Amino acid sequence: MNLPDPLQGVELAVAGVGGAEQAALVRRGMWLHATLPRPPVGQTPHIEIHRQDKLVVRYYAPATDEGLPPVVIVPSLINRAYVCDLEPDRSLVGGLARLGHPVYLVDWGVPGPEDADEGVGYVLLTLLHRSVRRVCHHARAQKVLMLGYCQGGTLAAMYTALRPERVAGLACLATPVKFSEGGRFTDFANAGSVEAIVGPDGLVDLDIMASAFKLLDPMGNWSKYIALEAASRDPRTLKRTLARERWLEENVPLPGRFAQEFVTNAYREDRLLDGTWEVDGEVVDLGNITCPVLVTPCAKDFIAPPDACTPLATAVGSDDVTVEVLGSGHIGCVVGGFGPKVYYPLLDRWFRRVGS
Amino acid sequence: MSETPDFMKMSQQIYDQWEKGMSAWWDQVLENPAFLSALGENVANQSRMRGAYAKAVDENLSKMHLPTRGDLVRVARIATLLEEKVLQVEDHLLNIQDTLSRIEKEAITARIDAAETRIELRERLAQLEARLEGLEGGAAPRRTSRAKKEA
Repeated sequence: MNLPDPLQGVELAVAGVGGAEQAALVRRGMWLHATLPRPPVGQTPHIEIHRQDKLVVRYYAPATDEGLPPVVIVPSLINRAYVCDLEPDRSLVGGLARLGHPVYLVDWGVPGPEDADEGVGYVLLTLLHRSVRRVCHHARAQKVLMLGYCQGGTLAAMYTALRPERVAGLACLATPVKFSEGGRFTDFANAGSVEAIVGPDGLVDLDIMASAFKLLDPMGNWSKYIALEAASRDPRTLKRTLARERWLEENVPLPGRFAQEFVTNAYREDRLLDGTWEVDGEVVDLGNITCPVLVTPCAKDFIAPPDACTPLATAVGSDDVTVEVLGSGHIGCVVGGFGPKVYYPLLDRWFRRVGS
Repeated sequence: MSETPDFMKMSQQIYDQWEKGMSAWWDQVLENPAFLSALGENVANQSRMRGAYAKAVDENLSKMHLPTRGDLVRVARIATLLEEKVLQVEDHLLNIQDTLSRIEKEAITARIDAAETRIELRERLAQLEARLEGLEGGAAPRRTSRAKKEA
């Protein structure tokens, strides 16, 4: 099959010059993007209760002591965990803590070349399992409520399937489980050999990660300058936009072994729903998940489309499954206004119900 | 009098049209197997190039008797393994602490239960003594067991 006519793109680019006013806005947006400092992030008060390797477990004390069970938030390994605490008034961890939940955030940190051999088994059965045990000890609880976000949700579901005795409830936000429906990510994961994505230091190179994210929404890389220019008229909106931009810019390299295992088992062979994914000799059977489950795909999500997320509801062995399709994008439900208005209260109600 | 054309609005429309067209063009490109295949090859070539560069740097450092990246990675891995050992010991200690706390809690509960039982028994004894005194009525006053104890 031939590529589309490249001249078509040139023609369109020439046509775009007609929008001279817009071009000026883009130029100003680019200047702002290049010169403005990024705001501080992760400002919600917390303490560190556990550290291993690059991982840190952060504890956010509840505003009121109602004796609610601990909530462990598991973010993705491929982005910075501070997306859950980007701004004080739009913070997932802060929002849940204000609603009375003791919140623990698993911050995976930034791996180095010495972590290249860490696979999915190490991440789940050593790092996450020990973190959950430390949380239980700290909170004086036998079980935790788990909230996984994006790839972190996939890992949380896998952990719950492997160690169900530790989890009292599993909430999955924008969590892909049917990877054949994973959209462009699946296309990228199937292009070329899996070995090629790992650099000489044993990590998936930051440039590859950044390029993959940019190609998910090519025009977004252009239109963001217009959005930044528009945001510059209001200091508060500008700060919000820059905080989000900081998160998008600060990519994290993946340990090579983890990336190869995940891409092969998830995106190439789609083994999770089949129940054929083995982690350190243990088969991940989602049917082992018998605790209450909350599945929340995002309707406008092109990173983890709803079709890739909703099959979790039927794959688990639980009788208590709730599916709520959120009317937001992949990160809007966490860092946008949608979070405090809709998503945090939804989580609060569900955690109180299953944790009681 | 004809209306003045709104150039700002026209500009916005032109831009929107251009963005829509470009977006559709990108969609075609990104879904094209030829592009994806070339992308995969490009990534592989970049990876090979970086690998060759890293190897050359390591060889040069080694010739100069300086620690290479590989040496530093080995030391960092040893540190990670040592940390794992320490954490395993800490796990063990925390398990012991949890067990001790549970035993202590059970012991306290047992002591509270025993104290409550004793109080209950005393109350029942007092009730029985009161009933006995009532039954004896006008008979000669007899000393109760408690009175005997107090005496």
